This record gives sequence, C-alpha cells and structure tokens, in this order.
Amino acid sequence: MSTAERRDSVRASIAQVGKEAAPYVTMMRIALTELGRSRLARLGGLLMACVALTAACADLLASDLPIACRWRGATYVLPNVTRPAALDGLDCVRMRAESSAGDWLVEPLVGFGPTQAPGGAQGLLAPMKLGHPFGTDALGRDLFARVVHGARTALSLGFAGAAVLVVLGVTMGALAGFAGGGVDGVVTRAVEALSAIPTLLLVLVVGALVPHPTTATLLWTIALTRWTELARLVRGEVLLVLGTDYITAARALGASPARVLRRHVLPNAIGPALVAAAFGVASIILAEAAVDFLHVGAPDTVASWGEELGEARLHAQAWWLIAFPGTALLATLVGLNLIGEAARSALDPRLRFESPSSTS
Amino acid sequence: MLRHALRRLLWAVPTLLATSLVLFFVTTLAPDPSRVDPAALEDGPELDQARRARFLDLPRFVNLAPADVRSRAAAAMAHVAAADSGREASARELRRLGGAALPYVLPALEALAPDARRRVALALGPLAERMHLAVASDLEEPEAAVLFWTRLWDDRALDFSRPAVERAVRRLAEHGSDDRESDVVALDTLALPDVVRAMTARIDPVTLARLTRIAQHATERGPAVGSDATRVERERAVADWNEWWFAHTTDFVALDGASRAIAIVTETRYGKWLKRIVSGELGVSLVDGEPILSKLRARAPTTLSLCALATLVSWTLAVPIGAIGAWWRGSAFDVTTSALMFLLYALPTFVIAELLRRAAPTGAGGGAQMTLAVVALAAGSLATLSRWQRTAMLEVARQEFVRTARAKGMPAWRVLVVHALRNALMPTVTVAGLHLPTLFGGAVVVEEVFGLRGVGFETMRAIEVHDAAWLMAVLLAAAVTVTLGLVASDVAYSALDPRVRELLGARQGRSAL
Repeated sequence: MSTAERRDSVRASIAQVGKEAAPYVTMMRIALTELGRSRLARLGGLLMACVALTAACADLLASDLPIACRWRGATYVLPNVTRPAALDGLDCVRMRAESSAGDWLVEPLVGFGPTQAPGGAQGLLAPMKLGHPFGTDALGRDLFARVVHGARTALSLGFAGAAVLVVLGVTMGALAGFAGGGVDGVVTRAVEALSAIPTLLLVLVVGALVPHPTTATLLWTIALTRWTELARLVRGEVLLVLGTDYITAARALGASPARVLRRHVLPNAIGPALVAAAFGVASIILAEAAVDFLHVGAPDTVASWGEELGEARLHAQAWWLIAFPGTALLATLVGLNLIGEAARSALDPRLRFESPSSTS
Repeated sequence: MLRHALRRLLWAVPTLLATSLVLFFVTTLAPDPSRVDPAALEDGPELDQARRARFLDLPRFVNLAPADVRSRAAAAMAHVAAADSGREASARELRRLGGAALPYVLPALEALAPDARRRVALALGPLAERMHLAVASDLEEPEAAVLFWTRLWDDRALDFSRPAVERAVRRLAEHGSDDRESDVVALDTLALPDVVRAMTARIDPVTLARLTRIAQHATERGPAVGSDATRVERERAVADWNEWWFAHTTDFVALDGASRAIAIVTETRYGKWLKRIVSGELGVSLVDGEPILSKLRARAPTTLSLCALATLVSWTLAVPIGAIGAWWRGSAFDVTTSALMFLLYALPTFVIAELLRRAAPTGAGGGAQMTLAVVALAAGSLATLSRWQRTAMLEVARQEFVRTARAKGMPAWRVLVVHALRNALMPTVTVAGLHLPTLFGGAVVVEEVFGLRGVGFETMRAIEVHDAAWLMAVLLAAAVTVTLGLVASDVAYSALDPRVRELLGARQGRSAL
C-alpha cells in the first residue's frame, strides 16, 4: 500500500466514523444558543443594532444636502452621499429658498450637516426647536446631525481599533502559549509592561508628543497597547488546550504544529477574542470620547460625542449638549458591555450552570 | 513569605525594563527639532543643544563606534589639515573641544605635512588665547604658531596628564586663590570632569563661583554664579552644569578599555535616557521651569489622596453590595444594584464628573470639590469592583463548605461573613491591582473637571505646551506605581490565602505548617 493509498483509506474511515457518530454539539453552538437565549444579550444587540443603523443611515437622517432632488433640470439621487460637484456650495435651506419651477427636493429628517454652521447669533447654543430637534452647539452646528454622525465616527473607530487589537492579541497570545520558552518570556514581559501604563494617560501623552496627532494616532496607540489582556487570556487557553489528550492524539497522528495550532488550538481562542472585541470597541469609543472631551488637540473627525460633551463644560446652561451626546455614548457603551458580558458568561460553563443552592 | 515578596519584587525588574523600553519608544515619537522647523536650522548652537539634550545624534540601542574626544579631535584635525569644505566648522569644533583635545592633537602635529601642520596650528590660535597661553597676535604667523604648539607640548606635556589636572582642580577646590584659578583656566576643557564633579560636591559659594567661572570660560556657555548668589541660583546653576555635562561628557573625555566597552551600551539614546531616569534626573518643567522631581513631589499628595480615598469609598461600598447581591441572587436588591452598577460601569468617568460638577452649588469650596472628585472617581471603581465581588461570591456560594455550614444550622449572616466572604475577597484583592491604571486615568479627568491641582491637572497643562519631560515623568511614575501595586496585591494575596501560603512553604522546602 502506498502512502497516498493509506492516507486515503484513513480519510475514508474517518469520514465513515463521522457519519455514524451521533450529531455532536460544539462549544460554539452551545455558546451561541446560550447567547441567543440571554435577555441581556438581546437587549445589548438591540441597542447596538440601533446605533449601527443610525451610523449607517447618518446621511439620510441629517445632511446638508437632500436625499433626492431635481435641481436646474437635473435629477440627483442621494446627492448627500455622492456629493455631485454641481451642488457645491448649496444646502437644503438655500435650495428651498432658491428653487424654481420644476425643482423638487426630498429633505432628510434634519436638513443640516454635522459640520455646517448655519450662522446667525440666534443660531448659537439654541435650545430645541423646529428644524433643530436637539438644539445647536456653541458654533451653531445642529446637535442632532452631530449626534447621528458621531455614531458613525464612534463605531468605525471602535471596530477598526478592535480588529487590530484582536488580531494582535490572538497572535501574541497563541505565539507565547505555543512557542513557550524565550518567546513566552518576552511576550509575558511585554504584556506586564504594557498593562502597567494607564491607557488614557498614554493616549494623551502620545497625542501631545506626536507632531500632528490624528484620530488614527489614538487608534493605533490603543490598539498597540491594549492587546495585552486578550493575549493573556489566549495564552492561558492555549496552555490549557495543549495539555489535553486530543492534542496529544492529533500529534500522535502526525499533525504538523501548524495544523495543531490552526485546527485544534486557535478555535478555542475565538471565545475570548469575541469578548475582548466587544470590550475593546467599548474602550476605544470611551477613550476617544475622553480625549475629545478634554479638548486635546484639534478634533479631526466629522463629529464626535466627546467633543460636544467637552463643549458642555464651558456652557453650563446648555443641558442638551450633555444630554443627547451623553445618552448616545451611554447607550453604545451599555450595548457593547451587555454583549461582552453575555458572551463571557455564555462561554464560561461555570457561570452558566449555576446551581441555585445558595438562594434560599 | 518575605522570600516570596522579594522574589516577586525581583521579577518586577524585567517588567520595569520592558516598561522603560515602551516609554523610550514614546519619547522617540516626539519630533526631531531639526526636522520640524527648518528655520531652526539657522541658529546652529541652540538647535545642537536641543538635539544633544535628547541624544538625538546617538544610535538608539547599540553604539559600536562611540565618539569620544580623541575621535572628534582627529576628525576635526583631518578636515582642517586637508583644508576641505568642512574646515571652518572643524576649526570651531577644535576650539569647542579645547584643552581636552590637545593631548591628541599636538603629538599628531609632527606626523602632518608642513602645510597641514601650519593650518592646524593656525586653527588652534583662538584656543591659545582662551587658555591664556599666548596673545593671538603672536600666533598669526604660521611658522610661529607651529613652533609655539610644538614647544608647548615638549615643555608642558606633563601638565596635561590626568593626575596633574586632578591635582590642580583639587587644590583650587580646597584653597581657592586667583593663581590656582588661572592654573585651571590654563587647562581649559581638560579640567571639566573634575570641575563639574567638584561643583556637585562643594556648596561653598566662593569656590563654586570660581568653578562655574572656569567652566563658563572653557566652554563659552552656561551660567556662572557670583559669590553672592542665592541658594536657589546656585542649585540651578549646578543642576544646569550637571545636565550639560551628562549630555556632553564624551566630547571632553576619552574612552579607553573598559569604558569603551561599556560605552557601546551606555552611549546610546536608550542608555543615556535610562541612566538619567534611574538617577532621578527628570529635567525641568517647560511650564514654569521648576525641576520635575520637586514638582511631582508637590503635586502627588493631592492625586494620591484622591485615589486612596476613592479606593477606600469604592471598596467599602462594593464589597457588601457585591457580596449581598450574590448571596441573595435574583432578589430585588440584587437586580436593582446589578442594573445600577451596570449603568455606572458603562458611564464614562468624565460624564459622571461633569454631571456632579453641575449638580454642585456654584462657589463650593475646595473641600466640597475634593469630595465630589472622590465620589466621581469612586463611582467608576465601585461598578467594576462590585461586579468582581459579585462574581467571586457566586463562585464561593456554590461550594460544598458553604452548604455544610448552612446545614449545621449556622446563622446565615455568619456563613456569609465568616465563611463565604473571606474566600470571596481573595479574587477581588488580586484584581484590585489591575484596576490601578484605570484609576490613574480617571484621576486625570476628575482633577481637570474639578480643577484640583494634582498631577493630572499639571499633566493637562503640560500637554498644552508639549512638555515632554513632565509627560514622560508622569507616565513613568504611573507605570512604576502600578507595577509595585501589582506586586503588593500579589504578595497580599499569597499572604491571605492559606493554600498559596502552603504551596510557597512547600516549594521552599519547609514544612507546610
């Protein structure tokens, strides 16, 4: 029997066993079922869905240009997304005032963009009124537009940062656990060193030292320093898994280290990675808001909740400046934390099968 | 147990080294002054000063060819001798290196071609005047200059030897007189190592005035204090000279043998930076010119007491809330506090602080501000800690020994407090150390919102003016405190937990009892 034949026969028998065996439930399946059953997770999911929907449809909810319009003989669909050059310098208010016969426009919910300052002294720090459902800020920008577009900023920053963070964390953790020895030592020291540095302080300092700080600087600072917790978890998980019999079996069957890592070790890291991702998104959104709140450097994002909250410090009477962005920020953080927390307990069998013996 | 604590502390050293690498990387983010502002290139000395103060000319981690006075002098002499485009700058460089370069320049004169020899001798002219060896007009003639320098080396080589220099400075420091001062002036930069060392050791105003005068004369820079200077002025001048000497040592000192081997590591940006930090030289604040260390010492009590009070408040509330909630799981109390804590957990510290500040009556005194700041800072920790405490308690409440205690008929509160809580506190103690970074970050925000003049408040001011020295010092202080806090909580954990204690005892080969 040649090697190839032998391998084929082994594969065939494995497939046979797979068919005959009872359908098995994977850890992932259990966790997902558990997650779906949890009321808190559903609440968190609902909150995040709302925020995500707002972020996705930000231009339909608030924009300086209409959703669709006919202007000087040409029809534009979604000019607020495509930004045609022909409509440069125009906005909803002007278009409404200057429209001639045959022109029509479908306005978004609020006809102001997040960076547009309609001007006029009465437009600064105006409370809620028609056209400005959330009022305006100290520069006369519409708060509703800023909150809605702030959701986009927060989510895109949060998810981009969390992606880097998760990739780094899983890689470093797996590397440390799998390679052991010197590599493990180096990674462990790095984890300890990085987790000793307060994130907010580091973000502020890096922002002050870098010649031209941008939001990307903040993102990278957090992503490159906050992978530590995940790496610690993944390393623990990997070490735990490496001691199990099925790894020994896989190795005995001749699986290469790469295959053991990919097929048998890393899938165990998915759980911690998901939990860390949820909390990572939350921590990046929080840090970004805190930095903008402290007014460090010029804000370079379209709109940020933290920036509005920071403005609220200077204008004590404008309660809407703290109420609306604050609520949006809180809802997002609560949603993310709920999901993260539910995912954590769904993945942790000890928290799941709790006996009610202590309650009497 | 002490052994364990010491071992744990020793393990913190590599961690701190790794932290220092991270922080060093952060310092390298600050821009090189020559790249930011091309206009700054024009005023050479000042820019050079700024670059030297941050060791930007050195390689980052390994310096295989550390430059010292010998290599610098040789390079400058080669340029002058070859009369190439760099000769003007090199002549200035020779003058800057001063007397310290003479032991390497003068013997090499012989080996040069006559033309080159004359050029070098001429370039050294201003130096002879500075050292009060000759009048410039006497050395205008190339032949005369060559003759003068050759003779000088033949006659007085011994005066330029290390022991002779040391003796001259020591005599000046012990019994200062004008004659002895001019002896040292004649040695120029060669005497700098001893002069700067003597400055640090001696605070006698008259001698210090002489020493700073000599240093200023030789280097054509830096402060010279009068003999009637105030204490603060004197201290600042000495600090300035020390700082300068630290950055410029190798310009005036030759590296041989062991010192050259060590210089491979120490004459690097990281090496210099680390050495400075370890020796407590953190520099001066850009905001008000105060030394960072004394400023840190002045501001730290506010921040530390803020953090300590917040920790105290959050612990005293979090432990009962978490424990009771977990014990009567699903009760109205549990549901209410859990929801509340969750909300508090998600609420950013800066929002809490801002809301509290608004709720406070205007014109509240410093005490009220501090109280509110403590509450704001404690709120965040409270949420985190109580959730940890609740999880830990849930874990313990399931254990057999708790059920046994209940079955024996022990009152519920006694089981809760004595049996369950004692065990459930352990994990919370461990994670409390991990919570420190968040606490420090929160303190910055809270101090800024309430205007408390602590480290965080100063940090915000430092950020406004890009004061790298202060920011570095704060990051460093925070990192060291956190690392030590982690060690402490680890040691506390092993001291509290009899199981770990036994394990440690067994490992050390003692009986488990």
